[in-house]
Amino acid sequence: MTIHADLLAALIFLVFGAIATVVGWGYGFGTFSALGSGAMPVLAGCGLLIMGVAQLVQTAAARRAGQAFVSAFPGSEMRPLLVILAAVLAFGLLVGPLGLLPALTALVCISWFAESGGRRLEMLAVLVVVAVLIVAIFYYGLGIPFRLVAWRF
Amino acid sequence: MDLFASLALGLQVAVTPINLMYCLLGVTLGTAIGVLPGVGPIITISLLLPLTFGLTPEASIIMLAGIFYGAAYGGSTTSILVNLPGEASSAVTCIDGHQMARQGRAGAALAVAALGSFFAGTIGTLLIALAGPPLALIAMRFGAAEYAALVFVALLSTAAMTRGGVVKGVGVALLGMAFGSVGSDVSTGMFRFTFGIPELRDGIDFAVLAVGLFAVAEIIGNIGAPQGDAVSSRNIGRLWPSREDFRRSWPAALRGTGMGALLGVLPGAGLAMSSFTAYMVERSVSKHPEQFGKGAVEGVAGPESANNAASQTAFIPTLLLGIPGSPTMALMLGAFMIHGVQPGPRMMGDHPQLFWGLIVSMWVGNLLLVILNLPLIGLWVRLLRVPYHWLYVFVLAFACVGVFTMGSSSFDIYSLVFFGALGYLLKAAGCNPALFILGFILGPMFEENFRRAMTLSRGDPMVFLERPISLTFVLIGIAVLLATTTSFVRRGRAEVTE
Repeated sequence: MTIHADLLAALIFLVFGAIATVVGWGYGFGTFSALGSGAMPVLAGCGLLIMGVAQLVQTAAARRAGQAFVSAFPGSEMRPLLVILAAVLAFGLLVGPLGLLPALTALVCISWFAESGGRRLEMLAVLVVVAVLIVAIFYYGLGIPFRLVAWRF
Repeated sequence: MDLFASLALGLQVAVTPINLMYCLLGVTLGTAIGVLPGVGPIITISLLLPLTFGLTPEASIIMLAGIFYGAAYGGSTTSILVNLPGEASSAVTCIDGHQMARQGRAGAALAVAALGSFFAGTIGTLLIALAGPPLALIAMRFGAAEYAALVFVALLSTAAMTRGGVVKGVGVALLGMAFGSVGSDVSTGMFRFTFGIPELRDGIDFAVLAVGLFAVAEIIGNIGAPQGDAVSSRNIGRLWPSREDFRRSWPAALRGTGMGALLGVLPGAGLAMSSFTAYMVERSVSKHPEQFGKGAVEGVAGPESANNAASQTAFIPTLLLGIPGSPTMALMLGAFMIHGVQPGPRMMGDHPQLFWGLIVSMWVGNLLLVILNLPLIGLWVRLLRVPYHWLYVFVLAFACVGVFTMGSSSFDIYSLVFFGALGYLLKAAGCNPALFILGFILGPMFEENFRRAMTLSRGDPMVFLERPISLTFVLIGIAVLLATTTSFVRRGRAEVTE
């Protein structure tokens, strides 16, 4: 069974709706004249669950009508998805212990491969340009006290 | 204070050299980022939001207004030159604007768009200044029940109008509301959904959410997507429109302004609908409807004026009621709140300098756009030729560093990964992430007013139906929902029987 767009929407609504309802219930719904901290999460969560079910019903009706569905995750988008998220994650992991420039280097070098066909030499050029622009804008322009390079493990 | 005194006060604030400089900076940066292919105003504003931190409230809000207009203008430039609309509202401009560009008249199209926008912006500014004081007086009488009902209507009608259907629209808005409840509860101080993470106690950082949902997710989606038609951008042609262009454009700009100004105030109607409506009207009143789609100048002037007028009057509910009618406005409202400014009926009385300064800055920003950006068009065209491979790496780096500067915390970057993934999933599911932002901003407002109204009525939900203003809002909401669901059901049935 392919996960197509409508089914994915239903899944997202059901998962987050269940979390909001269950966890929110624990915060206390309160009474109608004194709604507790959990009231709003429970209401939003129940709404999400209803929307999730409604989406499922709609999808089932469309399926019975013989509508063809395509996968919500085309293979061509998997590479950029994973590579871009990995690049951001690497930036977050490195910026604290190593400083801005090493983290930027990792970000640029990883994200470069999100799209195929880039040459290595070009990547170096991009790295230099991006580093210069970012340091110029944020470090000198806005005067934000980054540690450009830090050796603290 | 009468209108002119207020505008004079605003002018005083707006044209101090320092504020003028921030307005200019905002307009330039907004255009520079907004002109990049596939980068619409929402992404531009969220990317540049961190740059405004650390300025005084006045300077930062003026700069944000500049970014807002710069981004919108940059978006229409991209539509005309490479046929890649950054968001739905400039999609209409693509139709005839890009055809003009292919005929070597890109310069004229850009100038008509800029002049039409400026004209619409001027009218829009006057409308806000005129409508402001009386509307604020009415809004002052709103109690918790009215506010809760109003938020409800704004959310519901926006969700229902979005492409993708009511179920997905309402679902995404609810998801945003659920995320909006993360952090400490305003009334009881209880920490909700923090899962033991101290960084979440103040709630999810708005800027991180916006950058993740839009910038990061958008980059992922755009890699490998078609890169537009860059060939036609080489030849701009004469910049100044011909006398014939002027003769044909000004009535179109006038009609567009009128329609945009009206539609902009309505929640959910927004920019896309106003430019689309303006295009339809131009085509039906034109003596040469066959020219539309082949480079008719009215097809640029009408929609561009309409969406600028709408983006101006959209500030009316945002600033005066504190209720944004569109996702872009929700973003602006969120940005204002980051700077400690709470828009609403009291803003005009409590912070007259800020309020009128912002109103006049919008006009000054529009003026700066016309006098600065038309001569700079060659520079923007060169930006368009930057290969996407270079572009996304830079935008990603800018996003990460910008987010990091706000809290100097790696947690913000990890949140960025989470919201980037969530934004991608929402788009893959055919849900509009912009509605998520709207729910996120409006959710807490709804909760606060809903709970207060229920407490005041001692738990009687009839309070929302007993008060006339509140009842009107609820009825409007139900009507919008019914109208969209029934047509949806009809369409669904039609599909099944086909």
